Amino acid sequence: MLSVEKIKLGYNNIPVIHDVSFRVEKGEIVSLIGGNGNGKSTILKGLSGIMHPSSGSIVFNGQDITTAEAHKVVALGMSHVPEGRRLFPSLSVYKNLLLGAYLTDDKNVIHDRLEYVYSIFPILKDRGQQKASTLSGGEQQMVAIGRGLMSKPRFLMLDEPSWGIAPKLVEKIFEVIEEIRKDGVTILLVEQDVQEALDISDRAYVIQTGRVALEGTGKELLSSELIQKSFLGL
Amino acid sequence: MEGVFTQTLVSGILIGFIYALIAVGLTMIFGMMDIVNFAHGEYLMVAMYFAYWFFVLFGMDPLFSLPLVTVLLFLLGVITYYIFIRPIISAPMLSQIFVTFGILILLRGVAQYLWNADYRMIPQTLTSGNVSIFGVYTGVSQLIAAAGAVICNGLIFWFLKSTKLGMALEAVSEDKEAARLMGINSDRMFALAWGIGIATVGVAGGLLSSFYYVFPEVGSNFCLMAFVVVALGGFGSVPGAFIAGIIVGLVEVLSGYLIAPSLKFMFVLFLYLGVVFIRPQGFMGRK
Ligand SMILES: Nc1ncnc2c1ncn2[C@@H]1O[C@H](COP(=O)(O)OP(=O)(O)OP(=O)(O)O)[C@@H](O)[C@H]1O
Ligand SMILES: [Mg+2]
Repeated sequence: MLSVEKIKLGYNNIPVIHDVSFRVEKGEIVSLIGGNGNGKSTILKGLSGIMHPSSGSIVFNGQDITTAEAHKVVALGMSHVPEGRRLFPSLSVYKNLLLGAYLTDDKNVIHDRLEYVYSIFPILKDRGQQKASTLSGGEQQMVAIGRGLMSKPRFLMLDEPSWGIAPKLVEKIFEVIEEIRKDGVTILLVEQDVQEALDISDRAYVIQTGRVALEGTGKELLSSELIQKSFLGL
Repeated sequence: MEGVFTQTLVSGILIGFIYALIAVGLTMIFGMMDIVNFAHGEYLMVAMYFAYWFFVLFGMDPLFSLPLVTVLLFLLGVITYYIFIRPIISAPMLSQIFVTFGILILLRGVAQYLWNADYRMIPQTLTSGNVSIFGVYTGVSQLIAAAGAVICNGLIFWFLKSTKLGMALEAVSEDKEAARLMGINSDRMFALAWGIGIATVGVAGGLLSSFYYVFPEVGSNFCLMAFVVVALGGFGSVPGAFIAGIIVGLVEVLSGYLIAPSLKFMFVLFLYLGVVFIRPQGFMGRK
């Protein structure tokens, strides 16, 4: 579904990502893991068209999207739930969700997507008229994921969905991710909660200083020495 | 004495509505892309000249040429965006200031060259004359201009809150990057914001032209007031600009009436400084 070949990305000519390659097959949950500042979020920005690689290529569903603009990439069925949630703070929860479906004008489609999002996060229905900024961290994350699902993506990228939310909700978020996959959405996950992420991932890539340091199945990585030492504190 | 006072109050509120309308465009452009349009008053001047020449050349009353002037100014705003603003959208603030200041000088220069420095006025319009409402006398033109400004402000507010395009504009002004991830073409939204922002100042210019002199520097005072209104109301806030407009209008005429006409701008600026110190984000600003 997604194939990334030797991409380089950087900020103001300072390279951050060096020749990273990976792939995601249809129906998989794939994780990118690694510590702070190693470039995971930058990779996602490169995929969704917020940034463009200076070399290398990104092919999504057989289409080259290396230089495609963000608003075009969404239309192809890729959705990016960014780090830090990035809601529209002074707009209502309902409007935040509607904006997720910006590219469609079909009322029925929008209605169906809303119902789908409410079926996953029932609480968002009650919060509809509330300003997004007034919600708790966990609820904001639900809005962010819900908004990302409103475009009916085939491929969903989640950047640290467990960031800044109550521990008991973290579990729930990971359950939801598996549920979304069951509904036919392929998932690329970026996480600091390595244990939880690897538990639900089919495969994962360890990103260190902008390079792929290690790759394998979730199980393989959980038992690897590098992971145990650097991330699990074993 | 009391009659004059009421009279003054009313005229302050009426002009305040116009300030609010001019400020709305300014605050909208700023809210969308953090660019301060120093040439805002010059677009007002251009709109007034358009209305003036429509009258002189075609005998069109400013009220009838208003839709035309509005559309022309909308186009001018969009063109300005694509030619001047787009290239500097992520440039340092100083370059952005130079560019919008450059537009100010350019537009003023063109006006001076084409139409010289004469003060011109449309001699007779459909709305000339005065009316008395509950014993308060006011010019019909002023009244219509104020009503037009209120309606236009209301329309902008409605557009932002209740239409899909308006929602997209708000999304871009809240978080450009997140808006792009929703599939919103932020570049188009910027162009639209310039179109609407300049069109609203066009409405203000068209309305003013029926009772105000037009000359190449006419924009500067109005623009100054609009800046105070924007700062007072909160950068980026449309309802804030509306309330602040009325306050600025009132302070201007009341200080002119109670203290001295020559000092009225000073009091408006005092008001501004007071707000900056006490509540820097303005009445309804974010942060
Ligand atoms: N907007 C930016 N401008 C300049 N440099 C940036 C920017 N964003 C990130 N960087 C740099 O790029 C590198 C990679 O950052 P990135 O955010 O991709 O890492 P990350 O793996 O997502 O980290 P975290 O786990 O903290 O989210 C870091 O060195 C960071 O300082
Ligand atoms: Mg990150």
